[in-house]
Amino acid sequence: MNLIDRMANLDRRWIFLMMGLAVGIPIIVIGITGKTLPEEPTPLAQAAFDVLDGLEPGSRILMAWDFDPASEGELGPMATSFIRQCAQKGHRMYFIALWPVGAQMIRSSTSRVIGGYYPDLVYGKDWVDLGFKAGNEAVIKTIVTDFAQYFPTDARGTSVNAIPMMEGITSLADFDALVNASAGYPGSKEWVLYAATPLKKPLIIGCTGVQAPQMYPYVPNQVQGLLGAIKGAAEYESIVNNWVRSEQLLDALESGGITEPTSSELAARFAAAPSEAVTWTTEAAAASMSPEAKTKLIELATAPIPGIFLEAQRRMGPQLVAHLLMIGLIIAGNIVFFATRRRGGSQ
Amino acid sequence: MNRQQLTLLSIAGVFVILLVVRAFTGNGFGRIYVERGEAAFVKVEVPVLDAPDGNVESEGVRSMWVDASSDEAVDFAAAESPRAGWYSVKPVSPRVYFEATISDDALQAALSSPFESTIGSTDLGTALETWRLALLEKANAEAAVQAEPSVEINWKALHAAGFDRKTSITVTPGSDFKTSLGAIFDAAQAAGDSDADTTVVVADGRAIVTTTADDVVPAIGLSWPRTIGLWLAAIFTLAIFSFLYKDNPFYKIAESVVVGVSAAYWMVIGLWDMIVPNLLGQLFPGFVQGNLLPGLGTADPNWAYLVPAIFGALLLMRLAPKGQYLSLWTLAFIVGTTAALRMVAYIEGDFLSQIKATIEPLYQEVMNADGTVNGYSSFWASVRQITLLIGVLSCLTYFFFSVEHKGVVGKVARVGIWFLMITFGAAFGFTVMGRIALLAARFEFLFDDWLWLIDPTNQRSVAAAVGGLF
Repeated sequence: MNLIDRMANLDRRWIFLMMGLAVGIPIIVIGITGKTLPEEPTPLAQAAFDVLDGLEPGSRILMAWDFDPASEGELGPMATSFIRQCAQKGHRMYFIALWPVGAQMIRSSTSRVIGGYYPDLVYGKDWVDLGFKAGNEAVIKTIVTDFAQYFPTDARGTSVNAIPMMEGITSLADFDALVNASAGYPGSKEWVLYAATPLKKPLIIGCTGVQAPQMYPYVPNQVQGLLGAIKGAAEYESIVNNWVRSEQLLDALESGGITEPTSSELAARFAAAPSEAVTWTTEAAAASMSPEAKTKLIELATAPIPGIFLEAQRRMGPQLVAHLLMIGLIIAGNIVFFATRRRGGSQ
Repeated sequence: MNRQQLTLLSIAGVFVILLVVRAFTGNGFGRIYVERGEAAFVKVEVPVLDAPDGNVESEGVRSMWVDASSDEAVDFAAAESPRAGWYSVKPVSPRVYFEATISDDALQAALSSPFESTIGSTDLGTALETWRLALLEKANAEAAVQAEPSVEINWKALHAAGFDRKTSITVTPGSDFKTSLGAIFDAAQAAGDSDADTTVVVADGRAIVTTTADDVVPAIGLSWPRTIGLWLAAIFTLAIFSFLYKDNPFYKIAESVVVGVSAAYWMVIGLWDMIVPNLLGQLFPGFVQGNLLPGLGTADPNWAYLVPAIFGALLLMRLAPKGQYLSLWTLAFIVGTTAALRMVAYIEGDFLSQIKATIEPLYQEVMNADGTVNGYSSFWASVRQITLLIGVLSCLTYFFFSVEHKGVVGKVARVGIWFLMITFGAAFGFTVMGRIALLAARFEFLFDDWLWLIDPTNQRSVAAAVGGLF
């Protein structure tokens, strides 16, 4: 039996094993080294960021987490980055879920991001968990006109009347933007059809790879920002990470006496290339900064990004190797097919 | 079971036993640590300062539950104030546990070192804080590059024993930290405070000043329920993966558990998130507010909700031996309303909006920030619009079966097929990407949370993770 015959009769379990290794080995390598692949944001990911960035701090953002643990690998990093951008910007976040396990996803992502990195945010004033509501698109259709009908209490059983940030919320029209992380039905499509289209509200969608092709036709008129699968999540994550870093550096520079527009330019430069902050502090331009301010600036510039904000970028490594394997297998499969056909084998 | 299967099973069994033994020795792996603490609250009456000058209005008093160690608790709690307390558990990083374990020596060494600060005449709270900060500084110096220990005053226990942080005392510190602490409490007892025994407990990288050695000491320890949950998650993940080899009982068990748990979860969620607040809460608001959902606002019963209640009951008639046809009324209602809802939304959101988005000028002009035309972007935007138009028309032609696909129509339909194939390819590519991401997430769980081979979120040190292997 020659090589072609062996490949034609290859047990598919060898392919499973190869795929397992192609995904597993990069995870271990990236997990130990901490290195991730660079991400170049596409206009869709940038648009998603710009929509939230363009709103005034304190804007009301409805965040619908319509996914479950089965798709957490793709959508969890998006949810994390959405919350991080809103928390850093100072938006008010209203979490709801149309999937039963979405309530757990809300608790998981808020405790990881808000509990871990924005503990100053006050529940009920800066963010609120309204929990899961059954009814699929009927929920959206109803809250377009009457929010309290479906959400008389939050997830903890507190009446919405006793929650300060619920004051003035009577319908979906009272929100400034909608953010949806979706794994299927009900999800992105329903938010487009029943909320964003009739209300003309900005809608940002983070969805699974399976859904993404169905969502592209809605961009940019009905959907303003679209993160498709883990690639979209990684791009958005890198934008938010750079922005948060530059915001922190801007604060450090301004508290050290560096004024606009120099401070903004330097913050953006140091966020992109942290090592430049170290050399800049030794230059004459930094003479006005105190030693403590310089130390703080260098610490902020060189501090590693917390691991939970790199989840999507870490998962791009296995993507690369697994896709290379798949391309190789497709080529090999075609070679085997044509070679077999030339010999008069099965067609 | 033949001899070969028995041999394989035996090898697998030995491997699993070794895995479990290794997991629970030393730094091991696959464990979840939690911090146990006491949450104590006391009901106090706090004056409300409404007047601009800060004066308390005559009736401006409100009752509230506050943390027992807070200043409000000290200032406004009466002797008979009701108290509530329970143990709280919160997950902590294994790093905290490991590093805490190695810093006890630093704390013991610091406690035996000379106390060099001065206290003099002050109140008990300030004296203990001075002592605490001095010990913390000394312990951190002793710990050097190791973890930083923490030093805490257990005010809950001290308050309960009768110590008041505002008691005025005069302290002459002793030679070391332990004797100095004794001198502080001796002074407090001389000033009229409690005569309860006090001590400093060192455990899990913390020094805690409290009244008894074994009372309300927060401790970091292994959480067996959570650890078992983690191992079950790992085992079920492997059981599902085992289907890739071939169908087997482990896969079937895992599959059945998923189905059963999901069904039960849906039922419970449906009851508490839908039927109780949205149906019973409308029909019997007083009862629901009083017995089931205290946060629900009370209002008059809304008897219109009897209609969905009756429809819901009719749907259950499918399970009855007779009268199943009654459930069809509910089904008809559901189908009718869903169709109507979707028709309107699809016409507006999919049909009209998509037509509008397609009917755009073929030449798209993209402007620069300074108002000039960006030729490069305009060119590609126009190419995109032309491609969109060709794609829409050719795909519609392919699905137009009233004309035979011959000649020009056939060629255009063939272009439509190419567009469809490219679309399906893109969809397949996205699907593959999504599935690989899910597989990566499961592998991350196995390697990170369970086996501790990697530590991307800095839960443990790399040394501990690698140490877990050997």
